[in-house]
Amino acid sequence: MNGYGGNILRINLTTGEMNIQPLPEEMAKEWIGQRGFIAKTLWDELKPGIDTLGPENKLVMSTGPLAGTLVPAGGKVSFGAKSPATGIYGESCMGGHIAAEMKYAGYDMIIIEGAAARPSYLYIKDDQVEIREASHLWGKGAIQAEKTLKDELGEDFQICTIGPAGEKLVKFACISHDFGRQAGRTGMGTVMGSKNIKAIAICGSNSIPLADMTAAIAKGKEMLKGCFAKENLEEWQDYGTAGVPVWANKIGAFPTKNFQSSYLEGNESLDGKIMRDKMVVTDKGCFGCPSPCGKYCFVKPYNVYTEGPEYETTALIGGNCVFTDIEQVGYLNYLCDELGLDTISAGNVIGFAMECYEKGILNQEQAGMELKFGDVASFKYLVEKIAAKEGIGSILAEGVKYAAEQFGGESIKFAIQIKGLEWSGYESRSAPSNMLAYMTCDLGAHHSRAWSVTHDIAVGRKVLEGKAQKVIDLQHIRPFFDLIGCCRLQWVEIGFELEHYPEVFRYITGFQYTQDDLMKISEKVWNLTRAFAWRELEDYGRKYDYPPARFYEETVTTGPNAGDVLSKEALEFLLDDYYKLRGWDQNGLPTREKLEQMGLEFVVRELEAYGRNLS
Amino acid sequence: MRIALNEARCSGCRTCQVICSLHNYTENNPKKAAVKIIGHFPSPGRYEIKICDQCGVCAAVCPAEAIGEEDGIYIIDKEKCTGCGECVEACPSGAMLQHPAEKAPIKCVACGQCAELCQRGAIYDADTREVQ
Amino acid sequence: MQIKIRVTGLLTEYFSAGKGELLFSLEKPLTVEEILQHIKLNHELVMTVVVSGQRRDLSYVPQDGEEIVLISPLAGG
Repeated sequence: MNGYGGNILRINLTTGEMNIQPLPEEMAKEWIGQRGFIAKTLWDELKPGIDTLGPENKLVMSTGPLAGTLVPAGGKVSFGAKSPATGIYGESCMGGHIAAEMKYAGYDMIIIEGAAARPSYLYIKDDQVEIREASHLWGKGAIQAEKTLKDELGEDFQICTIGPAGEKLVKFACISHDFGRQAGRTGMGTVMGSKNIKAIAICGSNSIPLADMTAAIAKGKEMLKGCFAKENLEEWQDYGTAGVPVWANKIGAFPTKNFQSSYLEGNESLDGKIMRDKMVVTDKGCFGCPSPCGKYCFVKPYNVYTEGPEYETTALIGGNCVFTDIEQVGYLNYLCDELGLDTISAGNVIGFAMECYEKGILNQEQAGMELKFGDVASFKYLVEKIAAKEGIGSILAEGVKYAAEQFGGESIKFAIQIKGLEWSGYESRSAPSNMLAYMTCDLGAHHSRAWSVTHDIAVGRKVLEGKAQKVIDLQHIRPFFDLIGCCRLQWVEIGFELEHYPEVFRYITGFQYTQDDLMKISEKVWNLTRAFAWRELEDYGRKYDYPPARFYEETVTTGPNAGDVLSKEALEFLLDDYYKLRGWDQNGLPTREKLEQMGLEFVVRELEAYGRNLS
Repeated sequence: MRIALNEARCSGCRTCQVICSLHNYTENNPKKAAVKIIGHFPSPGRYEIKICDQCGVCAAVCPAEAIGEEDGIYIIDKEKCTGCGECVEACPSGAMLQHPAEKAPIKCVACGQCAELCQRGAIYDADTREVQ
Repeated sequence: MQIKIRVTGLLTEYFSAGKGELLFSLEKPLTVEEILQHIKLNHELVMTVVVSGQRRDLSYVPQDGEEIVLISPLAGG
């Protein structure tokens, strides 16, 4: 099938059974790929109520039709499963080269079922698929394990791994690839660990068929050159997202001291320019990328190599745990990467523990040592305890929500999460639309689906009207890139125009879709993942969409937005507006009419079968 | 067209491989590219580019006399090539690449497509461009 | 004196000349931040100022004939 690897690989780790089935054309047409395939597969195949770490959960790896082609940055792959962090739909996306590789091996989707009896890794060379012994990799750091396997199998293999945290089932373990790219969020590394899978190694030798070869080459070149010509490309390549922390601080959006503030004193020393001068060894791009944001670093004082820190890491480790030395942030980034922990959640959890200590909710005996913001020893101690699930780490390894429930006191108010997923890098009390984006993200408090801080600045920070519509529009555009297998950063960061994509999509797949058609599919997936959460949790709805009380009860402590708070009334207004515009009921649940309009009749039937009352 | 390298600028994106296979084999398949990118990670953190420098050793060792020279570019005659692999062994740059579906090795013919799409100037045409 | 102003990325949504170039005449030298007030572009939307390939900040005073490129912040990584 044009544009596709053409097959679905299914591996049952319990029985050792494997099969390769052709990708149905109808599936490609209706769900495009990647996030679309994952959402549909998890909906169809997961029984509600299953244990996220049991063999009944499935880890689905999928990429999209533009991956592995000449289209700029076609190197994205997503992993999906029922999330151990949130108990609802989980998904995380990463770059590197393994998305393209799985297509050359002939696969658009790999479904991993059951659990291996022993530590294993998956060996996939075209249609040769093996579950191999991995005891020599078990316990190794995520990057070290990738290096070991690459040395064993050769340069032509692309490999993703988990670190010790994934093996130990820490709820925010990530999947790592290409020595510094991670599918960090919603515990996909945890699910991989629960299946006893340390690594997935793929090598493919096949071609991707293209519907119109000549047009695809011409358009691909035009798109690449369009990106090359962007005048901010040089700036972007020099710093990547590391150019952003100083701006985020100036406008008062930089997570600081476990989100007490949005302004970090001394943040200028986290600037990308300083990072480049001190640490950057090479610019590192993902497959087909015309604007490489990866800044591969050597952190001299600690004698370690690490990719990054990129914005999110600098925000959550730097700002949130109060480090203003970029080399310290680089070192702590390295620790998280080797241990296989999502730096966003890790920075939240550790910042939370530091605040609990400061407030006397945790004492030295419970914590095991004195915990202090800005103290490398505290961070290192906690992150290693978490990865090993020892002492205080065994509680923190479950995420901030669980930890707050255990620690008690007022701590739930400053456990910075939504739906159980820790918050990514923008403090949003002074940015209502961005707050709404976090509140309504299908995964929990994550920026990937919509980010609109600039919109709040441009139209007015206190304005509430119109904000929901902006968030909805973005929630269709940004995840659209997660349907096609491409990075969104060319559009988002260097301003490459969206309208190129439907055209090149036609040349590659032969499917005649307009931009509107593609956005409709994106919206359909959005409704499906919301329905997935409702099928899991009978009481799902509005009450799961609120941020922690810190954001509506406490004011920002310092900086340009000191004194700001987003009232509960404002949150209610935003949610009311959002649900209405989405065609959902007041409790934030998709209505029968909306689902039918999206072509999701099978969802209506299934929800009814589970006793959900659709309005 | 004189292909030259500035490896320090390579970001490992492999666009060179995609366009090479599209242009020379009419296939979207980087494994059929005459250029190869090798990452050296986690340390020292750099990319290596393998591509033919048209030294001609392959032609000298070919027992089938299947590799001819034209304007300084060595080209494999796929009809004559027996797929013996002598040239692959002998190539001092390790730039004669092989694919299971191709009898003849895959070798750079200096078409310059890779240089055209290398924004970073890691692969460039030394006839028209200064090192970046 | 006259300067040219261009913006990139998502800033084009909020810039009067969109993706085009804005010519701006001024009687006395002004900082970029002051110029932004004149053209009604919120300076908080600007992450970096680039003049002739050099990274500058909002306090930079452009010279006659210079082109300033305003780089918008990323949209959330």
